[in-house]
Amino acid sequence: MSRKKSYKILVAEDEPALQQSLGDKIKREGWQYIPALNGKEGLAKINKVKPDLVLLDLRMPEMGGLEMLQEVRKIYNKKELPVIILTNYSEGENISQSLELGADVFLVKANYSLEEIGEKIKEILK
Amino acid sequence: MHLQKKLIITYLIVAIIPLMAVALLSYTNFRESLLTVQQISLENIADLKVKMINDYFGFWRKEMTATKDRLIVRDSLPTISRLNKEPSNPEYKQARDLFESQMGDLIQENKEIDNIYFVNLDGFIVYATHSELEQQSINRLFPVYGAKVMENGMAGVYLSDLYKHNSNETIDFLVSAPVYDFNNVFSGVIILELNPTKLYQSLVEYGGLGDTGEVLLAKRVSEDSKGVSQSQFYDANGNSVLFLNPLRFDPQAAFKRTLNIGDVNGKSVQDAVQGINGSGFNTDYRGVLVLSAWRYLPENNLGLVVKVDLTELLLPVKNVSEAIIVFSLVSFLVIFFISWLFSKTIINPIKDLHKASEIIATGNLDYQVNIETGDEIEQLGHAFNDMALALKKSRIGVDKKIEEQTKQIKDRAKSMEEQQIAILNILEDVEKEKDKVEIIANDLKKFELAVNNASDQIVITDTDGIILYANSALERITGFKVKEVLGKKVGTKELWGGKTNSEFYQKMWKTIKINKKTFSGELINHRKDGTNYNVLASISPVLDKKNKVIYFVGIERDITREKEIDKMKTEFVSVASHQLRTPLTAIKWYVEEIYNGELGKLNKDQKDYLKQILESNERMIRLVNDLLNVSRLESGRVTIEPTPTDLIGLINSIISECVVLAKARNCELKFIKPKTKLPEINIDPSLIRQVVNNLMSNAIKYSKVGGGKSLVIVELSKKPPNVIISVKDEGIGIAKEHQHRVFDKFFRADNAIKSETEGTGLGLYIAKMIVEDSGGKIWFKSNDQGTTFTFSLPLAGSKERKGEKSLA
Repeated sequence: MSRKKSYKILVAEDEPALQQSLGDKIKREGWQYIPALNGKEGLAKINKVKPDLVLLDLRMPEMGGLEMLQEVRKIYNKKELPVIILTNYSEGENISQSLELGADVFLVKANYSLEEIGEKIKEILK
Repeated sequence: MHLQKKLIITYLIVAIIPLMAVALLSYTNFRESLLTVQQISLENIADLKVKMINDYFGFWRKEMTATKDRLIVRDSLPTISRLNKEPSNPEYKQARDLFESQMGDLIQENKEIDNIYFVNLDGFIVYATHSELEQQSINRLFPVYGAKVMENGMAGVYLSDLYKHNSNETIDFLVSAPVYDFNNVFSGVIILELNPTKLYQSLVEYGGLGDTGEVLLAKRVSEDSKGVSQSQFYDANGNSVLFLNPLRFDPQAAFKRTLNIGDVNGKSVQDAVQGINGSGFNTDYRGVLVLSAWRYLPENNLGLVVKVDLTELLLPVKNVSEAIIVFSLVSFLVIFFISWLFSKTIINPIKDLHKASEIIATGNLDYQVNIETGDEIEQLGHAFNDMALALKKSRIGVDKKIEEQTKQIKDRAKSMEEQQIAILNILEDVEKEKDKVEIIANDLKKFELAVNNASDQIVITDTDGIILYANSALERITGFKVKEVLGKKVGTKELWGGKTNSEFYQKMWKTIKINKKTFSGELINHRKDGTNYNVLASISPVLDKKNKVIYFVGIERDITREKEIDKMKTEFVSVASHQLRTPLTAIKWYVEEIYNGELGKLNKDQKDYLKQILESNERMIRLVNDLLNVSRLESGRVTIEPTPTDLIGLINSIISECVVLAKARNCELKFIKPKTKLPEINIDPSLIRQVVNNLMSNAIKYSKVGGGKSLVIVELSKKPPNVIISVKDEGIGIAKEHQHRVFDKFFRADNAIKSETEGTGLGLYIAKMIVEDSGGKIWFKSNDQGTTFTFSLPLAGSKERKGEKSLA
């Protein structure tokens, strides 16, 4: 994963507007954008093609973010597949639970611009 | 304290016993050797004096031997004797002149010679230096010694005892010798009358005898001869001792002072005159304790004593003993001081431990012992700290549980208790006044009315929990009819109970039956139709006069609805956080894209408008965030996770975050660090960061409006038991009439709104709650020159709180 172009970023997010913005951002950075509208879809896509990083919302229909994270960690460890939790649910138990389950960072969506999210991704993939 | 005393006493005993032993030993050794030396010295002096006396008398014996054989004596004296009756005879005169001129030199040489006598065979004095003494019997002139001198003088050279004249009190002795003429015919006896001046002079030579030394000469006499002058013979069987020379302490002693053989005092002189030599301690004639040496002089039948007062001899010993006492005292103090110091190094850490245990016992589990002695006590201190830590951990858990339980129970049980007291009073009355049937009937009516109409379920059981009474609320709450439940056991699955675990019931029965106290608690029951409901129950025993339980009264309130509302509140906050923030996020990100020109180039107006939207949107997000935080803080369920934090580092990182904002406002940031080293402090860095961040962005935002450069100073200082963090601006200040509302929720001062539209009015309210939850205080000072917000945090750190929520 040395060349920038080869980064595959999976975005698990049920809100289409947010999905779109994040997709725009990823594409503008020249990375490969893999959208998923819920945890189940996300897991299916990961099983097909292993992404380099996952942006993961917590509250999604069908399968929530924590559940999906749990499944992902059964296949890939933190080094193999970093996960950024990107949610507006900032209750304490969510944060600690996510980190316990093996998320890399916990970000509250509303508090970050696309620019800052891009920086975070670069920081982790470095 | 006691331990320290014990240690000091032990050291003292260990150190002082040898010290005392050495001191005592050296003292006695010194005393003994000193006295031994003195005794030897006295013996030597005594021997010297004896030799001197012998020499003295020997001198006169020799002198007399020579004199009796001199030509002038053998020539002149027989002539004088022969011509005694013819004083006018020229031959007599010639002989007399010749004798006197020839003997003159002898008298000149020896001032001790008082008189020279020549006594003829008839005992008549035929010649005397003082001629008026001639022509009389020698026995008349010397009634005691005359005969003795004559008798012995005829045989050879003879020395009489010392004697004292009756008439003139002078002391003299006589030396006699026979005189033969040239034909070797015995002609008479020559007698020298001598005063023993030189003898006495030599006796008072006190060299080597100090200030109290005396030399005394004595002889043995008969008791009856005492006081009879001239008659003091030497008497080998006499029972008295006569002193012969003047003494230092008694110049009149000669021939006056006596003592009896066998007296307690003056043993040495008694021994001496009885012919015994020796030395040692005894009392002298005065009764004073002395060291003395005594000698018998056989030739003269004299006793000699040389003595010195013991007190004088012991004077150096006294000095030495004083020195030893001073030395011992100084040593004692030094040892005491050292042992005190040493024991202190042991005791102080133990005291620290003791103090720590007392502090911890008062509940301050954050207290840490700091012992650096490098020994077992330091290890003990570490173990102690570990113990306090373990205790703290377990306590926090227990505290939390208790806190939660008591809070809930207290709040909700209060109104029930009031009801219950009324009922209990009635029941007690019933018990008291059993006999008064009418009153009972009345009371029962009242009781029934009150109880029946109560909104809470009231059940009375016997001591086994069998239901004796239930009010009408029972039906409404549980769905069971009153008739159905009477006579059945309360709280079973068959009725409304059995949903709560058995531990809860065990605790309840223990409280009401054994401890005979009221029990309150929350539990889940089920209705007749099977649905669950939450109740707050309060169960009390009713006691008779002998304190025996006779009934139980249980009051239950259905709190299902309250619980639901509580849950809904929590739900609302979490939903709001998601549902409000998600569209705000969408706006934020879309506008960001458009503003950045990702969807096509924009003109200046479009850009400005979009910027306005972005800023309004940001404010909205902040407001939602703040509202969420306020609701979390107010519920008291925010997690506080104290971790050792370097406050300087934390503030530095906040300052670097604020640099952009500060630059935009033409504001300079200054950080005054504490003068002394600040340890890491146990606080929740994410919470304190919010407080400092809030105060700083306020300071920057409200600092000098309208151009001019302004300065914001952050100061961190240590003021035990707290650290103080203050943020000072040069801003517009807060009007006096607004100052008391600064920390109120949603409050914003008029001038603040004018100069800065973005605030939510929640920042300081949140800051205050965080600081107080962290164990600190927040306050401010403001005038038209600027405002300083200050808050304190305990150096000991914040208390941990395991909440369900964190701020974000």
